[in-house]
Amino acid sequence: MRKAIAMLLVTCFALAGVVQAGEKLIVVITPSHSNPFFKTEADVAVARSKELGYAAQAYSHDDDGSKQSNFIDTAIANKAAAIVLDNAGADVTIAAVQKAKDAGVPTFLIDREINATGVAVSQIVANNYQGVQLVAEFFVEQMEEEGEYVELTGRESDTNAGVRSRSFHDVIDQYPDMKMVARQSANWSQPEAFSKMESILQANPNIKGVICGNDTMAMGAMAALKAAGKGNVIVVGFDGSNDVRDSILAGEIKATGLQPAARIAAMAVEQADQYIKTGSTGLAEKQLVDCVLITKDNAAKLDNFAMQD
Amino acid sequence: MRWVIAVIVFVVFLALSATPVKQDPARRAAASASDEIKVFFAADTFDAEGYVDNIWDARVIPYVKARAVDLSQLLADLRADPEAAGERYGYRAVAEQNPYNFAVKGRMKILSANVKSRNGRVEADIAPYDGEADVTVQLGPIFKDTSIRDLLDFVSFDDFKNQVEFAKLATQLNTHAHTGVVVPSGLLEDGGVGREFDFIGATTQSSRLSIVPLRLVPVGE
Repeated sequence: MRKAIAMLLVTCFALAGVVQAGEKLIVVITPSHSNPFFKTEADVAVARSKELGYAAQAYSHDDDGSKQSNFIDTAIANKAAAIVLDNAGADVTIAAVQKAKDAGVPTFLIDREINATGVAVSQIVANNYQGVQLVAEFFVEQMEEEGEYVELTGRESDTNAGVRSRSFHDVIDQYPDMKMVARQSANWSQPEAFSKMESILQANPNIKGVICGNDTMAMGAMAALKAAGKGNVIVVGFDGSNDVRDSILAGEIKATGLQPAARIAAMAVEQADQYIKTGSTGLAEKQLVDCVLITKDNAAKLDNFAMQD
Repeated sequence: MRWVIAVIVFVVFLALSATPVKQDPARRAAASASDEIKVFFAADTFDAEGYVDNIWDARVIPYVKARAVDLSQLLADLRADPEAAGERYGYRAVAEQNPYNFAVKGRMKILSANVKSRNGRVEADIAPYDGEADVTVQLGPIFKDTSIRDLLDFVSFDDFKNQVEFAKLATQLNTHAHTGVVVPSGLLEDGGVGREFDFIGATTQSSRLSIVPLRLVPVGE
Protein backbone atom coordinates (compact mmCIF):
# COMPACT_ATOMS: atom_id res chain seq x y z
CA MET A 1 0.00 0.00 0.00
CA ARG A 2 2.75 2.39 1.07
CA LYS A 3 4.68 1.64 -2.09
CA ALA A 4 1.63 2.32 -4.16
CA ILE A 5 1.17 5.69 -2.48
CA ALA A 6 4.82 6.54 -2.98
CA MET A 7 4.57 5.62 -6.66
CA LEU A 8 1.50 7.75 -6.97
CA LEU A 9 3.31 10.67 -5.34
CA VAL A 10 6.24 10.33 -7.72
CA THR A 11 3.88 10.34 -10.67
CA CYS A 12 1.97 13.34 -9.35
CA PHE A 13 5.10 15.42 -8.90
CA ALA A 14 6.38 14.42 -12.31
CA LEU A 15 3.07 15.42 -13.89
CA ALA A 16 2.65 18.58 -11.88
CA GLY A 17 5.81 19.97 -13.48
CA VAL A 18 6.97 21.54 -10.23
CA VAL A 19 10.43 21.79 -11.66
CA GLN A 20 10.77 24.13 -14.57
CA ALA A 21 13.16 23.27 -17.34
CA GLY A 22 16.74 24.09 -16.38
CA GLU A 23 15.88 24.76 -12.75
CA LYS A 24 17.69 22.50 -10.29
CA LEU A 25 15.77 20.89 -7.46
CA ILE A 26 16.51 20.75 -3.74
CA VAL A 27 14.41 18.26 -1.78
CA VAL A 28 13.86 19.01 1.92
CA ILE A 29 12.82 16.10 4.15
CA THR A 30 12.10 16.57 7.86
CA PRO A 31 10.03 15.03 10.65
CA SER A 32 6.39 16.07 11.01
CA HIS A 33 5.61 19.74 10.50
CA SER A 34 3.17 19.53 13.40
CA ASN A 35 6.23 20.30 15.56
CA PRO A 36 7.04 23.97 14.79
CA PHE A 37 10.75 23.19 15.03
CA PHE A 38 10.63 21.00 11.95
CA LYS A 39 8.21 23.29 10.16
CA THR A 40 10.68 26.14 10.60
CA GLU A 41 13.50 24.00 9.24
CA ALA A 42 11.47 23.09 6.17
CA ASP A 43 10.17 26.62 5.57
CA VAL A 44 13.60 28.19 5.86
CA ALA A 45 15.31 25.56 3.70
CA VAL A 46 12.69 25.95 0.97
CA ALA A 47 12.84 29.75 1.11
CA ARG A 48 16.66 29.81 1.00
CA SER A 49 16.67 27.35 -1.91
CA LYS A 50 14.35 29.59 -3.88
CA GLU A 51 16.45 32.66 -3.07
CA LEU A 52 19.46 30.85 -4.49
CA GLY A 53 17.56 30.00 -7.67
CA TYR A 54 16.48 26.43 -7.04
CA ALA A 55 13.12 24.73 -7.14
CA ALA A 56 12.33 23.18 -3.77
CA GLN A 57 10.02 20.50 -2.41
CA ALA A 58 9.38 19.71 1.25
CA TYR A 59 8.29 16.34 2.64
CA SER A 60 7.79 14.91 6.11
CA HIS A 61 8.94 11.39 6.97
CA ASP A 62 7.16 11.42 10.36
CA ASP A 63 10.19 9.68 11.91
CA ASP A 64 9.43 6.60 9.83
CA GLY A 65 12.54 5.11 8.24
CA SER A 66 10.73 3.44 5.35
CA LYS A 67 8.77 6.59 4.56
CA GLN A 68 12.08 8.47 4.56
CA SER A 69 13.51 5.90 2.18
CA ASN A 70 10.54 6.38 -0.17
CA PHE A 71 11.02 10.14 -0.24
CA ILE A 72 14.70 9.69 -1.00
CA ASP A 73 13.70 7.41 -3.89
CA THR A 74 11.38 10.16 -5.07
CA ALA A 75 14.20 12.71 -4.85
CA ILE A 76 16.49 10.43 -6.86
CA ALA A 77 13.75 9.79 -9.45
CA ASN A 78 13.18 13.54 -9.76
CA LYS A 79 16.93 14.03 -10.31
CA ALA A 80 17.29 16.31 -7.29
CA ALA A 81 20.52 18.30 -7.19
CA ALA A 82 20.65 17.90 -3.41
CA ILE A 83 18.70 16.60 -0.43
CA VAL A 84 18.47 18.51 2.84
CA LEU A 85 17.45 16.01 5.50
CA ASP A 86 16.57 16.05 9.19
CA ASN A 87 16.78 12.29 9.46
CA ALA A 88 14.56 9.58 10.91
CA GLY A 89 17.21 7.67 12.87
CA ALA A 90 20.97 7.59 13.35
CA ASP A 91 21.32 4.03 12.05
CA VAL A 92 18.32 3.51 9.76
CA THR A 93 19.26 6.59 7.72
CA ILE A 94 22.75 5.48 6.71
CA ALA A 95 21.62 3.15 3.92
CA ALA A 96 19.11 5.66 2.55
CA VAL A 97 21.70 8.43 2.31
CA GLN A 98 24.19 6.01 0.79
CA LYS A 99 21.58 5.11 -1.85
CA ALA A 100 21.23 8.78 -2.77
CA LYS A 101 24.99 9.19 -2.88
CA ASP A 102 25.33 6.19 -5.19
CA ALA A 103 22.73 7.78 -7.44
CA GLY A 104 24.77 10.99 -7.52
CA VAL A 105 22.50 12.97 -5.20
CA PRO A 106 24.40 14.61 -2.30
CA THR A 107 22.72 14.79 1.11
CA PHE A 108 23.11 17.59 3.66
CA LEU A 109 21.98 16.55 7.12
CA ILE A 110 20.60 19.07 9.57
CA ASP A 111 19.80 18.95 13.28
CA ARG A 112 20.40 15.25 13.90
CA GLU A 113 23.54 13.34 12.99
CA ILE A 114 23.90 9.77 11.78
CA ASN A 115 26.30 7.12 13.07
CA ALA A 116 28.51 7.25 10.00
CA THR A 117 30.75 9.69 8.20
CA GLY A 118 31.64 9.82 4.51
CA VAL A 119 28.07 9.18 3.41
CA ALA A 120 26.48 12.62 3.69
CA VAL A 121 28.37 15.67 2.44
CA SER A 122 27.58 17.76 5.54
CA GLN A 123 26.13 17.02 8.95
CA ILE A 124 25.23 20.35 10.51
CA VAL A 125 24.37 19.39 14.05
CA ALA A 126 23.01 21.62 16.78
CA ASN A 127 25.27 21.16 19.79
CA ASN A 128 22.59 19.54 21.91
CA TYR A 129 25.05 18.52 24.58
CA GLN A 130 26.31 22.07 25.07
CA GLY A 131 22.83 23.59 24.93
CA VAL A 132 21.34 21.15 27.42
CA GLN A 133 24.27 21.76 29.72
CA LEU A 134 23.30 25.44 29.87
CA VAL A 135 19.69 24.51 30.62
CA ALA A 136 20.77 21.96 33.24
CA GLU A 137 22.99 24.47 35.03
CA PHE A 138 20.12 26.96 35.11
CA PHE A 139 17.74 24.25 36.33
CA VAL A 140 20.06 23.32 39.20
CA GLU A 141 20.35 26.98 40.14
CA GLN A 142 16.55 27.40 40.15
CA MET A 143 16.20 24.24 42.24
CA GLU A 144 18.75 25.70 44.68
CA GLU A 145 20.75 22.50 44.13
CA GLU A 146 18.23 20.23 45.88
CA GLY A 147 14.88 18.48 45.61
CA GLU A 148 12.89 15.85 43.74
CA TYR A 149 12.61 16.07 39.98
CA VAL A 150 11.26 14.15 37.00
CA GLU A 151 12.76 13.58 33.57
CA LEU A 152 10.75 13.22 30.35
CA THR A 153 12.95 11.95 27.54
CA GLY A 154 12.43 11.88 23.80
CA ARG A 155 12.08 8.97 21.41
CA GLU A 156 14.70 6.35 22.12
CA SER A 157 15.72 5.73 18.50
CA ASP A 158 16.70 9.38 18.20
CA THR A 159 20.32 10.16 19.04
CA ASN A 160 19.34 13.57 20.35
CA ALA A 161 17.12 11.98 23.00
CA GLY A 162 20.15 10.16 24.36
CA VAL A 163 22.49 13.13 23.99
CA ARG A 164 20.15 15.45 25.87
CA SER A 165 19.45 12.99 28.66
CA ARG A 166 23.14 12.32 29.08
CA SER A 167 23.96 16.00 29.16
CA PHE A 168 21.26 16.78 31.72
CA HIS A 169 22.62 14.06 33.97
CA ASP A 170 26.28 14.92 33.47
CA VAL A 171 25.43 18.21 35.17
CA ILE A 172 22.62 17.36 37.59
CA ASP A 173 24.07 14.10 38.92
CA GLN A 174 26.99 16.09 40.30
CA TYR A 175 24.63 17.55 42.90
CA PRO A 176 24.00 14.93 45.58
CA ASP A 177 20.79 16.55 46.87
CA MET A 178 19.08 16.50 43.48
CA LYS A 179 16.91 13.40 43.44
CA MET A 180 15.29 12.00 40.28
CA VAL A 181 12.04 10.22 41.25
CA ALA A 182 10.78 9.25 37.77
CA ARG A 183 12.21 9.02 34.28
CA GLN A 184 10.03 8.19 31.29
CA SER A 185 9.95 8.65 27.56
CA ALA A 186 7.12 10.80 26.24
CA ASN A 187 8.39 10.37 22.66
CA TRP A 188 8.72 14.12 22.03
CA SER A 189 4.91 14.35 22.22
CA GLN A 190 2.88 17.02 23.99
CA PRO A 191 -0.22 14.88 24.74
CA GLU A 192 1.97 11.98 25.86
CA ALA A 193 3.93 14.30 28.17
CA PHE A 194 0.63 15.55 29.57
CA SER A 195 -0.68 12.08 30.43
CA LYS A 196 2.68 10.78 31.72
CA MET A 197 3.10 13.87 33.88
CA GLU A 198 -0.42 13.37 35.27
CA SER A 199 0.31 9.82 36.39
CA ILE A 200 3.81 10.62 37.66
CA LEU A 201 2.30 13.36 39.81
CA GLN A 202 -0.05 10.89 41.48
CA ALA A 203 2.87 8.79 42.65
CA ASN A 204 5.15 11.76 43.38
CA PRO A 205 3.13 14.71 44.67
CA ASN A 206 6.20 16.55 46.04
CA ILE A 207 8.22 17.05 42.91
CA LYS A 208 9.93 20.41 42.60
CA GLY A 209 11.18 20.26 39.02
CA VAL A 210 10.78 18.62 35.60
CA ILE A 211 13.44 18.38 32.90
CA CYS A 212 12.12 17.75 29.40
CA GLY A 213 14.06 16.60 26.33
CA ASN A 214 12.17 19.03 24.12
CA ASP A 215 9.77 21.95 24.21
CA THR A 216 6.60 20.14 23.16
CA MET A 217 7.00 17.78 26.12
CA ALA A 218 7.69 20.78 28.38
CA MET A 219 4.40 22.31 27.20
CA GLY A 220 2.57 19.04 27.95
CA ALA A 221 4.17 18.69 31.38
CA MET A 222 3.46 22.32 32.28
CA ALA A 223 -0.20 21.93 31.29
CA ALA A 224 -0.56 18.82 33.47
CA LEU A 225 1.13 20.57 36.40
CA LYS A 226 -1.12 23.60 36.06
CA ALA A 227 -4.20 21.36 35.87
CA ALA A 228 -3.07 19.77 39.16
CA GLY A 229 -2.58 23.17 40.80
CA LYS A 230 1.20 22.82 40.69
CA GLY A 231 2.06 25.58 38.26
CA ASN A 232 5.02 26.64 40.40
CA VAL A 233 7.01 23.47 39.63
CA ILE A 234 10.23 24.35 37.78
CA VAL A 235 9.92 23.09 34.19
CA VAL A 236 12.64 23.36 31.55
CA GLY A 237 12.63 22.29 27.92
CA PHE A 238 14.82 22.33 24.84
CA ASP A 239 14.41 23.64 21.22
CA GLY A 240 13.47 27.29 21.67
CA SER A 241 9.92 27.26 20.32
CA ASN A 242 7.61 30.27 20.31
CA ASP A 243 5.17 28.36 22.54
CA VAL A 244 7.77 27.94 25.24
CA ARG A 245 8.97 31.50 24.74
CA ASP A 246 5.44 32.71 25.52
CA SER A 247 5.21 30.39 28.51
CA ILE A 248 8.54 31.73 29.84
CA LEU A 249 7.35 35.31 29.37
CA ALA A 250 4.14 34.39 31.25
CA GLY A 251 6.28 33.14 34.16
CA GLU A 252 5.45 29.45 33.70
CA ILE A 253 8.19 27.35 32.03
CA LYS A 254 11.55 28.61 33.32
CA ALA A 255 14.02 27.96 30.53
CA THR A 256 14.79 26.30 27.22
CA GLY A 257 17.79 25.95 24.95
CA LEU A 258 17.49 27.49 21.50
CA GLN A 259 18.70 25.32 18.68
CA PRO A 260 19.28 27.75 15.86
CA ALA A 261 17.11 25.66 13.51
CA ALA A 262 16.46 28.48 11.08
CA ARG A 263 20.13 29.25 10.58
CA ILE A 264 21.12 25.59 10.39
CA ALA A 265 18.57 24.95 7.65
CA ALA A 266 19.85 27.95 5.70
CA MET A 267 23.47 26.83 6.19
CA ALA A 268 22.62 23.42 4.72
CA VAL A 269 21.14 24.98 1.59
CA GLU A 270 24.10 27.35 1.22
CA GLN A 271 26.53 24.45 1.55
CA ALA A 272 24.49 22.44 -0.96
CA ASP A 273 24.65 25.38 -3.37
CA GLN A 274 28.42 25.63 -2.90
CA TYR A 275 28.78 21.89 -3.42
CA ILE A 276 26.61 21.85 -6.55
CA LYS A 277 28.62 24.69 -8.06
CA THR A 278 32.16 23.69 -7.05
CA GLY A 279 32.05 20.04 -6.01
CA SER A 280 33.07 20.87 -2.43
CA THR A 281 31.71 22.75 0.57
CA GLY A 282 35.22 23.61 1.75
CA LEU A 283 34.13 22.60 5.25
CA ALA A 284 34.39 19.56 7.52
CA GLU A 285 31.52 17.11 7.16
CA LYS A 286 30.40 17.22 10.77
CA GLN A 287 29.77 20.71 12.06
CA LEU A 288 28.57 21.47 15.57
CA VAL A 289 26.59 24.67 16.02
CA ASP A 290 26.15 26.17 19.49
CA CYS A 291 22.78 26.59 21.22
CA VAL A 292 21.64 29.52 23.38
CA LEU A 293 20.07 29.49 26.86
CA ILE A 294 16.65 31.17 26.83
CA THR A 295 15.21 32.51 30.10
CA LYS A 296 12.88 35.39 30.94
CA ASP A 297 15.88 37.72 30.44
CA ASN A 298 16.16 37.15 26.69
CA ALA A 299 12.99 35.26 25.70
CA ALA A 300 11.41 38.37 24.15
CA LYS A 301 14.10 38.34 21.45
CA LEU A 302 13.30 34.80 20.34
CA ASP A 303 11.18 34.26 17.26
CA ASN A 304 10.82 31.25 14.96
CA PHE A 305 13.97 29.53 16.24
CA ALA A 306 16.21 32.54 15.83
CA MET A 307 17.29 35.42 18.05
CA GLN A 308 16.23 38.78 16.66
CA ASP A 309 18.69 41.61 17.24
CA MET B 1 -12.62 5.30 1.54
CA ARG B 2 -13.62 2.01 3.11
CA TRP B 3 -10.26 1.60 4.85
CA VAL B 4 -10.52 5.14 6.22
CA ILE B 5 -13.74 4.17 7.96
CA ALA B 6 -12.14 0.97 9.16
CA VAL B 7 -9.28 2.96 10.67
CA ILE B 8 -11.67 5.36 12.38
CA VAL B 9 -13.68 2.49 13.82
CA PHE B 10 -10.51 0.85 15.03
CA VAL B 11 -9.22 4.06 16.66
CA VAL B 12 -12.55 4.64 18.40
CA PHE B 13 -12.51 1.03 19.57
CA LEU B 14 -8.99 1.51 20.95
CA ALA B 15 -9.98 4.71 22.72
CA LEU B 16 -13.01 3.07 24.29
CA SER B 17 -11.16 -0.03 25.38
CA ALA B 18 -8.42 2.11 26.93
CA THR B 19 -10.77 4.36 28.88
CA PRO B 20 -11.33 2.21 31.99
CA VAL B 21 -7.57 1.89 32.50
CA LYS B 22 -7.16 5.64 32.23
CA GLN B 23 -9.61 6.26 35.00
CA ASP B 24 -7.98 3.91 37.45
CA PRO B 25 -5.16 5.85 39.13
CA ALA B 26 -3.66 2.80 40.83
CA ARG B 27 -3.39 0.86 37.58
CA ARG B 28 -2.00 3.86 35.81
CA ALA B 29 0.69 4.35 38.42
CA ALA B 30 1.62 0.70 38.09
CA ALA B 31 1.75 0.99 34.32
CA SER B 32 3.95 4.07 34.51
CA ALA B 33 6.39 2.38 36.87
CA SER B 34 6.88 -0.40 34.35
CA ASP B 35 7.40 2.17 31.58
CA GLU B 36 10.38 3.54 33.49
CA ILE B 37 13.58 3.77 31.49
CA LYS B 38 16.34 2.28 33.56
CA VAL B 39 19.32 2.82 31.37
CA PHE B 40 20.71 5.42 29.05
CA PHE B 41 20.13 4.99 25.37
CA ALA B 42 23.03 3.75 23.31
CA ALA B 43 25.75 1.82 25.10
CA ASP B 44 28.90 3.37 23.76
CA THR B 45 32.29 1.82 23.79
CA PHE B 46 34.47 4.90 23.34
CA ASP B 47 37.30 4.90 25.90
CA ALA B 48 37.57 8.63 26.58
CA GLU B 49 39.96 8.15 29.47
CA GLY B 50 42.42 6.14 27.40
CA TYR B 51 42.10 8.59 24.53
CA VAL B 52 42.90 11.58 26.74
CA ASP B 53 45.74 9.78 28.56
CA ASN B 54 47.29 9.20 25.15
CA ILE B 55 47.11 12.77 23.88
CA TRP B 56 47.44 14.92 27.03
CA ASP B 57 51.23 15.11 27.45
CA ALA B 58 52.10 14.16 23.90
CA ARG B 59 49.85 16.58 22.04
CA VAL B 60 47.52 18.73 24.17
CA ILE B 61 50.11 20.43 26.37
CA PRO B 62 52.63 21.13 23.55
CA TYR B 63 49.81 22.46 21.35
CA VAL B 64 48.43 24.77 24.03
CA LYS B 65 51.93 25.99 24.97
CA ALA B 66 52.79 26.74 21.36
CA ARG B 67 49.58 28.66 20.74
CA ALA B 68 49.22 30.42 24.08
CA VAL B 69 48.69 34.17 23.88
CA ASP B 70 49.46 36.44 26.81
CA LEU B 71 46.11 36.78 28.59
CA SER B 72 46.49 40.48 29.44
CA GLN B 73 47.18 41.14 25.75
CA LEU B 74 44.16 39.07 24.70
CA LEU B 75 41.89 40.89 27.16
CA ALA B 76 42.99 44.26 25.79
CA ASP B 77 42.60 43.16 22.17
CA LEU B 78 39.19 41.61 22.83
CA ARG B 79 38.02 44.89 24.32
CA ALA B 80 39.26 46.77 21.28
CA ASP B 81 37.92 44.46 18.54
CA PRO B 82 36.55 41.04 19.51
CA GLU B 83 36.26 39.75 15.95
CA ALA B 84 39.81 40.73 15.01
CA ALA B 85 41.20 39.33 18.28
CA GLY B 86 39.31 36.09 17.68
CA GLU B 87 40.64 35.76 14.19
CA ARG B 88 44.19 36.56 15.26
CA TYR B 89 44.55 34.37 18.35
CA GLY B 90 41.62 31.96 18.36
CA TYR B 91 40.50 28.71 16.82
CA ARG B 92 37.04 27.38 16.02
CA ALA B 93 36.14 24.35 13.96
CA VAL B 94 32.90 25.83 12.63
CA ALA B 95 32.91 29.50 11.87
CA GLU B 96 29.24 30.20 11.90
CA GLN B 97 27.39 30.86 15.14
CA ASN B 98 30.25 29.58 17.27
CA PRO B 99 32.69 31.49 19.52
CA TYR B 100 36.48 31.36 19.23
CA ASN B 101 38.57 29.33 21.64
CA PHE B 102 41.93 30.54 22.95
CA ALA B 103 45.06 29.11 24.50
CA VAL B 104 46.22 31.61 27.13
CA LYS B 105 49.12 32.13 29.51
CA GLY B 106 50.12 34.61 32.17
CA ARG B 107 50.48 35.30 35.86
CA MET B 108 47.49 35.65 38.14
CA LYS B 109 46.70 36.59 41.71
CA ILE B 110 43.62 35.04 43.32
CA LEU B 111 41.27 37.66 44.75
CA SER B 112 38.33 35.53 45.82
CA ALA B 113 37.26 31.90 45.65
CA ASN B 114 34.24 29.63 45.72
CA VAL B 115 35.42 26.08 46.25
CA LYS B 116 32.19 24.87 47.85
CA SER B 117 30.34 24.81 44.54
CA ARG B 118 30.67 21.76 42.34
CA ASN B 119 31.69 24.31 39.71
CA GLY B 120 34.60 25.41 41.89
CA ARG B 121 36.22 28.65 40.71
CA VAL B 122 38.32 31.64 41.66
CA GLU B 123 38.29 35.26 40.54
CA ALA B 124 41.74 36.39 39.48
CA ASP B 125 43.63 39.57 38.74
CA ILE B 126 45.89 39.11 35.71
CA ALA B 127 49.38 40.66 35.81
CA PRO B 128 50.12 43.54 35.51
CA TYR B 129 47.99 43.74 38.64
CA ASP B 130 45.45 46.48 39.23
CA GLY B 131 43.53 44.91 42.11
CA GLU B 132 40.50 44.14 39.92
CA ALA B 133 39.35 40.64 38.97
CA ASP B 134 39.82 40.18 35.22
CA VAL B 135 38.77 36.58 34.69
CA THR B 136 37.26 33.54 36.36
CA VAL B 137 39.47 30.49 36.62
CA GLN B 138 37.51 27.25 36.84
CA LEU B 139 38.64 24.53 39.23
CA GLY B 140 35.93 21.91 38.76
CA PRO B 141 35.08 19.14 39.16
CA ILE B 142 32.27 20.52 36.97
CA PHE B 143 33.46 22.81 34.22
CA LYS B 144 31.05 25.01 32.36
CA ASP B 145 32.70 24.91 28.96
CA THR B 146 34.29 22.61 26.45
CA SER B 147 37.16 25.02 25.83
CA ILE B 148 39.97 22.49 25.86
CA ARG B 149 38.36 20.20 23.30
CA ASP B 150 37.20 23.00 21.07
CA LEU B 151 40.64 24.59 21.05
CA LEU B 152 42.38 21.54 19.59
CA ASP B 153 42.63 21.70 15.81
CA PHE B 154 43.76 18.08 15.67
CA VAL B 155 40.55 16.84 17.25
CA SER B 156 37.67 16.78 14.78
CA PHE B 157 34.03 15.97 15.34
CA ASP B 158 34.32 13.95 12.09
CA ASP B 159 36.43 11.41 13.96
CA PHE B 160 33.73 10.58 16.49
CA LYS B 161 30.67 8.45 16.11
CA ASN B 162 28.27 11.01 17.51
CA GLN B 163 27.81 13.88 19.94
CA VAL B 164 27.77 11.56 22.95
CA GLU B 165 31.29 10.38 22.23
CA PHE B 166 32.44 13.88 21.39
CA ALA B 167 30.92 15.18 24.64
CA LYS B 168 32.62 12.43 26.61
CA LEU B 169 35.91 13.60 25.18
CA ALA B 170 35.28 17.17 26.36
CA THR B 171 34.26 15.99 29.82
CA GLN B 172 37.31 13.77 30.10
CA LEU B 173 39.67 16.57 29.04
CA ASN B 174 38.14 18.75 31.77
CA THR B 175 38.37 15.93 34.29
CA HIS B 176 42.02 15.49 33.40
CA ALA B 177 42.61 19.20 34.08
CA HIS B 178 40.79 18.88 37.39
CA THR B 179 42.62 15.82 38.68
CA GLY B 180 45.99 16.49 37.07
CA VAL B 181 46.28 20.25 37.50
CA VAL B 182 43.80 21.67 39.99
CA VAL B 183 43.94 18.99 42.67
CA PRO B 184 47.76 19.06 42.97
CA SER B 185 47.69 22.87 43.22
CA GLY B 186 45.96 22.61 46.60
CA LEU B 187 43.51 25.33 45.56
CA LEU B 188 40.46 23.23 46.29
CA GLU B 189 41.33 23.10 49.99
CA ASP B 190 41.06 26.81 50.76
CA GLY B 191 40.66 28.62 47.43
CA GLY B 192 44.17 30.08 47.74
CA VAL B 193 43.12 33.73 48.07
CA GLY B 194 46.23 35.93 47.82
CA ARG B 195 48.36 33.28 46.11
CA GLU B 196 49.97 33.86 42.73
CA PHE B 197 50.35 31.36 39.90
CA ASP B 198 51.89 31.24 36.47
CA PHE B 199 49.37 29.45 34.31
CA ILE B 200 48.52 28.19 30.89
CA GLY B 201 44.90 27.46 30.10
CA ALA B 202 42.05 27.22 27.64
CA THR B 203 39.11 29.58 27.31
CA THR B 204 36.17 30.37 25.06
CA GLN B 205 35.18 33.80 23.85
CA SER B 206 32.44 35.39 25.96
CA SER B 207 31.68 38.66 27.70
CA ARG B 208 33.70 37.45 30.69
CA LEU B 209 36.43 34.91 30.10
CA SER B 210 36.41 31.73 32.12
CA ILE B 211 39.71 29.85 32.08
CA VAL B 212 40.24 26.10 32.42
CA PRO B 213 43.82 25.69 33.69
CA LEU B 214 46.19 23.22 32.05
CA ARG B 215 49.21 24.20 34.13
CA LEU B 216 49.45 26.03 37.47
CA VAL B 217 52.88 26.88 38.89
CA PRO B 218 52.95 28.71 42.24
CA VAL B 219 54.98 31.93 42.24
CA GLY B 220 57.43 32.71 45.06
CA GLU B 221 56.51 29.80 47.32
